[in-house]
Amino acid sequence: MSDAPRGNLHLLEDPEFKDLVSRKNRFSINLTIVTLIVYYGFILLLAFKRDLFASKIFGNVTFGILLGIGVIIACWALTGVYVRWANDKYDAMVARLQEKAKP
Amino acid sequence: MSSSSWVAVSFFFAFVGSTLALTYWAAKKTKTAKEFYAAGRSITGFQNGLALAGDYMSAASFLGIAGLVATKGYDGLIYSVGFLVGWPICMFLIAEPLRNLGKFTFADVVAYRLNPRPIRTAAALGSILTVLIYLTAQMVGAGKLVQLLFAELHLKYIHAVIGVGILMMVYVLFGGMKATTWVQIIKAILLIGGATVLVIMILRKFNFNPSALFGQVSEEMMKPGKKSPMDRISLGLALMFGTAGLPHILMRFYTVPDAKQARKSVFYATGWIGYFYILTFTIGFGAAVLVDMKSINLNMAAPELAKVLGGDAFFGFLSAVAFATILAVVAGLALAGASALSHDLYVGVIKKGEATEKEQVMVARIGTITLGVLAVLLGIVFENQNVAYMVGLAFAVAASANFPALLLSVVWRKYTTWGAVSSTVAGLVLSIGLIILGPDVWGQVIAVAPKGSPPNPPIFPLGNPAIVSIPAAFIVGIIVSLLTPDPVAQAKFEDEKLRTYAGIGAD
Repeated sequence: MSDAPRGNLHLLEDPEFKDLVSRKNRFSINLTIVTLIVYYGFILLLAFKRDLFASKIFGNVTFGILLGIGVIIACWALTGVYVRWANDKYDAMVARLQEKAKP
Repeated sequence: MSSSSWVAVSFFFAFVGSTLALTYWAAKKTKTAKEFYAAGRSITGFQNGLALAGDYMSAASFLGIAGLVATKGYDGLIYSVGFLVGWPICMFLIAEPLRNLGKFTFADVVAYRLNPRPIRTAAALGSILTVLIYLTAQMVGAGKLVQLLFAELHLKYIHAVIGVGILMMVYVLFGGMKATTWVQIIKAILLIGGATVLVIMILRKFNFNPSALFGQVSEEMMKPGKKSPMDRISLGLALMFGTAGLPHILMRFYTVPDAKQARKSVFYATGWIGYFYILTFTIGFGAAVLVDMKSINLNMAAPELAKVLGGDAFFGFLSAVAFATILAVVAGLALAGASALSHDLYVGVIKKGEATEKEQVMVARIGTITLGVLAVLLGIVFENQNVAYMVGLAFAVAASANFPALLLSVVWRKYTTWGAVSSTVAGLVLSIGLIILGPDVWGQVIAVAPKGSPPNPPIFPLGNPAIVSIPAAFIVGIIVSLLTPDPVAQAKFEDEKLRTYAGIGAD
């Protein structure tokens, strides 16, 4: 186990680190909530709006098929949103802190 | 032998031959514990994304979901959605801290600031049970499937199970994580490629107009079945949080060099798996329309459809792909189980973390053989069990025993050793106990009513216990932690934060 964290405890008080922690937590929690809403919205529709699923939207393609594909794509897109944010914002904040850290 | 058997057997031997060659190559690079457990952290995010997809897309989900959609319609599709939603959760809550804090197994993360020996004992128990249940389901599935796919070769169930067990042990024993990873990657490409070709063939039948395909599916099949909302929510919870508690999936995050690659691999994995599930239910609807489902076994919907559309050769190819799929999944599971046995239990608990490099690798190999033998025995003993509830059980155990302990250890400062141990044990006991008392086992497998008398009603009403066992594991973990405050662990949480969030000092 590396001892690097112990040599850098002063960074814990660094406003940049505090900012990084709160932003990362907020972003993760918000995306988790969105995922929960998307999936449990789907589950609740299954339970209470059964007939809706067979209604035809484009030709014979039903609401249920489109919704299923939609939830799958939404899950993937959410991971994409996170990667995008992390690559643009989070990595830059991490890099600044790692520069301040002693090896 | 018919032409389909020839094609199946030759593709199968081509796959086994090339993966064994790969294992030989990987074996030369597998000398240290880091190489054995984590492929020397040399796998890229893209490669690991494919390997994660390979680990996750089992034959059960390919053949099982296609068959379910072909016979029950929309209810099968619900499964494909459920199996995907765990991935974003895994990304947002677990992937990066897991990579930054751990070394080889998720128990490393939980044990990081707590008392390692009790933690590793409990976490290893959770891991090994999850792996063994999942492995048993896969072994039974493998044996049955080989009988179906290679029916005219008259392979016996027991021979299929032993064959799968031996091949899986060879990959893991000699090639460690490197060979296992590349077996997953090859298999993922074959499976996604094979399913894509099959879907193109279905759509060609309908002049590439999906509407024409769905037009022939009955309206009733396009509606979800009448299942109670509680049942659906409970299963949904198990699938959603189980993914982030499956040891063979979590272990994959240590094969990449850093947190950035870990997160990238989840993005790729989610994309591949999502695409695969869209293909799978399309295949299911295709089979519902083009195959006479009444005359065949439910699990054979996809291969039978291949026969109708592409003749014997394509049937043979798809059968071989399905078999390669099983082989790859069991290899990944065996490696994860072996790591829990050797890295967590032997090195962490018995040797208190003091073991030489050589000793660690040797123990890992002994662990692999132990796991392999156990898997074959369990496969033989449980031959006649229903595979579906075992997979549900594995997800429930992972979501209840492993996930709460892992998440709380990452996010909660006041978490303590006894909090983590009791949360794991509570999750384990409740998830397994309630499944035994539930409708799939009670009155079906045990406590079966004698013939002629009314069936024994289940003691627990839901098929999946997650809605009770996950919250219970969290509550027990929190209450016990508050009762056993640990100032040292709280202080260490601060050090840990630098590593969790900024990767400072990560291995």
